Amino acid sequence: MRRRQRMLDDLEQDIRDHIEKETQDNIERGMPPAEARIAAVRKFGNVTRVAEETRDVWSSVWLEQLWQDVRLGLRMLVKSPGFTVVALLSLTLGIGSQRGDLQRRQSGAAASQSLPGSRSRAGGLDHHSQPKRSAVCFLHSGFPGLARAESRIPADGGHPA
Amino acid sequence: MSTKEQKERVELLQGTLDLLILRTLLLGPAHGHAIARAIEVNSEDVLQVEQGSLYPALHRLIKRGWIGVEEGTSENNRRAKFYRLTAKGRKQLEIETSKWDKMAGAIARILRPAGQEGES
Repeated sequence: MRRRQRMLDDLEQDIRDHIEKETQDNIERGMPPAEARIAAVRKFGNVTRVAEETRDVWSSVWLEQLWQDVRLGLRMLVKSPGFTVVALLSLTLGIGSQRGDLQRRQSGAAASQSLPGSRSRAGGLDHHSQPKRSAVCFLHSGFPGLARAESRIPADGGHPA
Repeated sequence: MSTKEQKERVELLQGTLDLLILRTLLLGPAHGHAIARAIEVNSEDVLQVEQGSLYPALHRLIKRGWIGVEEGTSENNRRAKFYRLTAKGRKQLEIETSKWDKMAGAIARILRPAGQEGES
């Protein structure tokens, strides 16, 4: 990254030097100075476009490095499947339980906020929280550790189990 | 520069500039302007290099690690960047050169099938 910055910082000066040298060459070939400079600029081409294209060369560096990192990571995971399984499982369980907890709290809060009366508690099956709860059950079925969290849902949300 | 003279010059093919830069630097480190001049002079002024296009190419080669850059002073005692071929670039030059030979050979065979070679 530092190399990129240094190269780009100097770019304008490099271009100026280049046109200067070409102008000198043209003068040595016998052109009058004003004409020599115009010819040099014309031969260089569009300075703005050149600077832009040069910057573009470096702009994808971080993306390429990221891609290399990802590939290395994946190779390491394939190399040690035991670690991969353990890491994947603990991540799944961790994220899953947090998500379940959050969803349970949200549906509880929504129920008590939007329907201050006893309707939702008495009716139980309002349109918003019923599908959410079934989604939670679907996500967590198969994870015995989460049964605890699910079992609390009826108590807070007021739904019949 | 007359239009006739311009017409006799050939625009550089896409992607060949990198190869020409590497080949030029095989002779020793050079600054940007010197590389452009060397390509023109060595091609006997047939290849028309829009000199600006040299810079994205140089940066691309630096990024790939095929050339390096160092500060130095040019012939008229001014600070200048000198580009030089790296070991990786030297290897790449060999690969690119043989690729180019193959391609040029193949195109030549298509353009001038066996029977018509007397012309060249």
